[in-house]
Amino acid sequence: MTSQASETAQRRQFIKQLATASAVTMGMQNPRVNASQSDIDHPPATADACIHIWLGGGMAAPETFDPKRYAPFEKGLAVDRMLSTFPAIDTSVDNIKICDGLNNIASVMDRGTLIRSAVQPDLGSILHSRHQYHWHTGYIPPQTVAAPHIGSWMSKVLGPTDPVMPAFVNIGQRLEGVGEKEELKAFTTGGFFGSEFGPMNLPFPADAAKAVSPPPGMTAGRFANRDRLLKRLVDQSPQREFMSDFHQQSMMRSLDRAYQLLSSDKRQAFDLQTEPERSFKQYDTGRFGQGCLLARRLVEAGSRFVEVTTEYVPFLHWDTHNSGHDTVARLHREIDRPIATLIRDLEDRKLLDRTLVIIASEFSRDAIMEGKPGSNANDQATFKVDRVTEKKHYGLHRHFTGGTSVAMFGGGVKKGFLYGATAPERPLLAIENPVTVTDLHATIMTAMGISPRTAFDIEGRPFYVTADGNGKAVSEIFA
Amino acid sequence: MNNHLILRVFNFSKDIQRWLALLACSLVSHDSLAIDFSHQIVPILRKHCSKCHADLEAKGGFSFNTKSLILESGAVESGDSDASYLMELISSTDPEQQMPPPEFDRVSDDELQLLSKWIDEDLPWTDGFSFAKTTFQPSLSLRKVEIDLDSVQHPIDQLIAQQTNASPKNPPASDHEFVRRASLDLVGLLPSLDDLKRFQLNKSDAKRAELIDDLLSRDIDYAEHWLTFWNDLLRNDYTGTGFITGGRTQITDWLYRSLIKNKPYDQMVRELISPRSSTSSGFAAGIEWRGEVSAGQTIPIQFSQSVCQSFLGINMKCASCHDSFVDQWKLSDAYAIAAIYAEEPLELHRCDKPTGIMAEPRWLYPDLGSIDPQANKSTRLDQLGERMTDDRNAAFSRTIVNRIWAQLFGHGIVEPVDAMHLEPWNQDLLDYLASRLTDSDYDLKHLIRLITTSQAYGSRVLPDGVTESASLDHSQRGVSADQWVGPRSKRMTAEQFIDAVWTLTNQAPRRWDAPVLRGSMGSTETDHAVSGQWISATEDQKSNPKDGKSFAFRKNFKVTERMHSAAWVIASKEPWSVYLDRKHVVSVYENDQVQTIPIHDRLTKGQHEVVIMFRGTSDAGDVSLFFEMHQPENATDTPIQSDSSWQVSLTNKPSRREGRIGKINGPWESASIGNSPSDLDVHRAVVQSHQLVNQPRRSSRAALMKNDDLMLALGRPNRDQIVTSRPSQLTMLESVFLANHQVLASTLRKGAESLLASSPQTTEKLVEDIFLKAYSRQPTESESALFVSELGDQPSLESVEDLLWIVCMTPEFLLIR
Repeated sequence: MTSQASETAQRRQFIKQLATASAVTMGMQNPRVNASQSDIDHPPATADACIHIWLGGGMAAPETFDPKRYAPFEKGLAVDRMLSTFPAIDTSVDNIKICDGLNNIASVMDRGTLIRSAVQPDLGSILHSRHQYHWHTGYIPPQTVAAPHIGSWMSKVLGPTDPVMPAFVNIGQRLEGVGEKEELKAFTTGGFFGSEFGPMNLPFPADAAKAVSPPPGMTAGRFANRDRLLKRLVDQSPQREFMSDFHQQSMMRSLDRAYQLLSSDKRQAFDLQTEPERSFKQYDTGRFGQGCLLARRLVEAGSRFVEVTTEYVPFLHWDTHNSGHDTVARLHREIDRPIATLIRDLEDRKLLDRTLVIIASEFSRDAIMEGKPGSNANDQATFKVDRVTEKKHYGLHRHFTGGTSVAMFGGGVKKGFLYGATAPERPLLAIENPVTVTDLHATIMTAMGISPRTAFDIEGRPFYVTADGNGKAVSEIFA
Repeated sequence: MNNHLILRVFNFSKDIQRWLALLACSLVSHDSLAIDFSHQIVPILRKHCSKCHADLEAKGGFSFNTKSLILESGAVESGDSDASYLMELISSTDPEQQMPPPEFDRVSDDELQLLSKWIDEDLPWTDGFSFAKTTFQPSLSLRKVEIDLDSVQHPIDQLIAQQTNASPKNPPASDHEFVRRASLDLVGLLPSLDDLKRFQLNKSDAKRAELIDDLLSRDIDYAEHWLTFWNDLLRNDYTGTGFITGGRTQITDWLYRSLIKNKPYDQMVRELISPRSSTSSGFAAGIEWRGEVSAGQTIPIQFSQSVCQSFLGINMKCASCHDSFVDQWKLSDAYAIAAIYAEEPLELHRCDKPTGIMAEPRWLYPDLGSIDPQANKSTRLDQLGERMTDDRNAAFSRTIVNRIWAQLFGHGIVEPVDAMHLEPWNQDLLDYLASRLTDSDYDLKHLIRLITTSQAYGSRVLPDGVTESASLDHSQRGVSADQWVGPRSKRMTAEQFIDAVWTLTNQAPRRWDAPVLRGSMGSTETDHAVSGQWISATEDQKSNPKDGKSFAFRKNFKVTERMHSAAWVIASKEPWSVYLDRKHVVSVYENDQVQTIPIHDRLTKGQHEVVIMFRGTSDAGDVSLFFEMHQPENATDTPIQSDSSWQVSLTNKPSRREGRIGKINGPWESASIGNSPSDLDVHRAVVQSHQLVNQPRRSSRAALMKNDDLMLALGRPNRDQIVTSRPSQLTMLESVFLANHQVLASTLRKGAESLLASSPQTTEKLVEDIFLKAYSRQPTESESALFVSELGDQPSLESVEDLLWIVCMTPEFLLIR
């Protein structure tokens, strides 16, 4: 049996056990695998792990992966003449050009597939939080039940690749002290699967080691002694008859698993200090670069799904409502080297073939169009000018939902492949092979070996991994 | 689905609507994907077979009510449709043999294909689903339950004994188990050393009942514990989605005061369904997201779902999209409740597609009254409130009784608690308790007292089985008729855990986040003079009332120091809205209201403007207003009250967007001093408000704090949805937090410091105190020996800190038994 076939077989076995397992580990109100699904046919996985690089805030495709006619900065430039503010450059793939500033990524384009035709629904008022919720859960908010993050689906269905590690880690996004934090929390969650399958949040990669260390100032010896005493106390409790109580046993198991992680070598994976200086520097462009490095280390150590973000903060980073060009030029510097390094690093470590790397954002941007043609969404630009008179007017300052780029590397996708296209002139709509969020999720889940129709029963109804079970994988992009 | 099928459906089926729902909801090809039983198979069986083979009908001895009945019949070979006699019958062309019989429509090829796939997949079935309708139907009204009034046995124990033909098997809990359980269940706190001592010294036979009375009389502790349960049930929180755009309103202060006063439950529900002011409007108003939402999540539909789930234990979520496949509720029912709330005529949408059918406001149980569809919205809501809380509406009282029982016993009389159409394990018990609740005018404390003074509540928790099959049966835990297993162990909620750690370490914070006036009025009220004057518009404004213009009153004031508690008392004959710095605070919808509003959380340092808007000008062309601000007596700033320094304007309605109003341009005039309306008693509100803001500061409770990463990990939900049960298991990520969360670790360290700093004591005494506080019992000899030897005569800070951590991590601490 090849390792892939055996993995598939194990997966089937695992899914079969889910009906039992979920009921065992969870309370009454918790979901059980949908009764009709005990034998659902999961596709063979082409990836074991997934790194999701999230450029939250609305990455303008014409400024990154889908260059259009270049309009250099000049005073008096008509805003409606502005499609791209960066010139196109060649990549390692003949028919793919991307924007100047992403030169390192250009050199690894031959390792991945570029989708230029991702589309989003127009939700009336173009709110980042609603589109981000949609992108991360597959469902448009509000929902009657708490929808799980896609990382939680992988955590629930597949678990970590190494049992000591957390399955789902979320790097780089603060959930406190930033605007729209409640809206971020609404989808950064295991939802109805419960916190076991929710993310481990590591907003600052440099501090990640602390998250899995004993409390500050506690020596390994003291930490071990504390654990030993806890077990002795439980062992001689006068409530001895509860030793075999299921509730009590599972509680002790959880505490023990935490102790295992906090005292095992695996936690080294969280500690960027232990990375050799050369590779650390290669990644290090600040928080985002360090996040990419951490993602590689965690996947290597056995996490299943790792999200890394440039961080969404309203009106910052990719959320360019003014000075778009200058801001994106800075972001190019922030992401270009780490992403290219990540791809090469995974390749060198022979991990790329089984690790799916996705680069995505909630929607694209345009200089004049809000939403898509016919949309009644509010104009969100800070400066409503017809002509560029200052640098702050130069860039793409409106939200565009009609055509967005998503890049995928490794994990079984074709190498050096271009899928879909947007129009050459405004409106820059996806004119070839549009891919919805639902189908994109089906594609990602299929690569991970999860059927897009996987469902769990919650409150007496099936809840599917892709909206209502309707997702269809884009099979053309698989090698 | 192909066109061929759609045509056939239109030609032959009488049940087109159901099919449209099915088509719209399951746009999936059925060739390669797993069978969806409830959406794909149930409709086929209902359409073709149910007349003769479901529910009470079993022609030819064949019933497909349940999967096991189908398998027992031998007509189906699980996993092999080719070998299944049923398929042979259905596909047969022989009129003598074929099913359904020749006079009925044939089963289509597509349906046939689905059925054989279903059989090939071993007949996937929804747990607990049955085609039999009549196995159990909750009665509309409560059944009369006879109790032996002469018996010394508690009514609950009588009813349990009647059903199980034996007294509860569980021996009584020990005193220390009981005092810890009762305290955590009723006030959410570990018993203090004093509580323990008092209980121990009480030699009365009725000491347990006295303890219950004592706990229930602690109104503040009671309210600050049950706030968690109600916040979950009414999806109220201090932070969350929706607040950022003004799409959500808290009911915190209203809820807090209702619990403090033990407001009758029926009154609470009427105020939630048909609010008299914005202080209780947030539940019905739901959460509004900007932009477009699906038809199944509009505000009126949210209202329908929330009202039915929280108060009736009915899941309308299925029926908000299509007729439910799993219970009796239909799309038209979900929309009937929604239409009561809707401002505009509401069109039924099936799976997000308009149907052309308009919803009619209607009550779910026509036998128990109606809603006048012609009435305006507020009348309709009043009527809904009345219908809902009618004593004859058994679903209403049963649902809350079951929820409270589940809180106290760890499992409901009906499980799950949101599926009240299922059979209770002891129907007499449920109906008895429900009628006692209605008889007591919906006194919730009375209900809790009734339950917790039973032997059943006071009995020992027995261990759950260790095998997976035993726990698989979780849904049935303790609910089988002949196997009463007593109370179950409950995991502490996040709030109980944090409170317990704070109690143990004496580290509860002094500030709290919930916008409430903490405290209770108690019995003694010291008098406080009214200082505000009744103010009104100028003579000129009064004599020139203009259509479409409204009165606005304003006052600017300065805050130089933040206060931990402050309140406004506002009164008027007319409805009004108050804004602080143009942000909405409270509106009252009815005449003659005196309202007390907690305001300290909004009073940041700096200049502020308070504006009170009236809806229009009254008939008399005049409105009058009373206002007083109350703050602690030692506060720095002089409190403001209504007087001639206020300004008044007759103005166009300012624009209002996302809870904020635009600038009011004026012109502003000095307000006139008017006469106080004789029938409005502001004095009482002034006395109470003054007393509340001047209560001694108390340590905070976790339920009053904003959710944080630690509580979130411990199972406190984001309250974006209604939550009726918390997770029962501890997860690995939570355990990591418990092991190294910085705030928790530093709390334990400070707790250790304070323990060591307090009066000199022996190590033995230190260990004993910690055990008493944490477990409400003495350490055993071996436990004491273990830690005395571990800590030594001069315990180090680290060793005490570790002892605290160890104690807090044991199941005996984390579980309520």
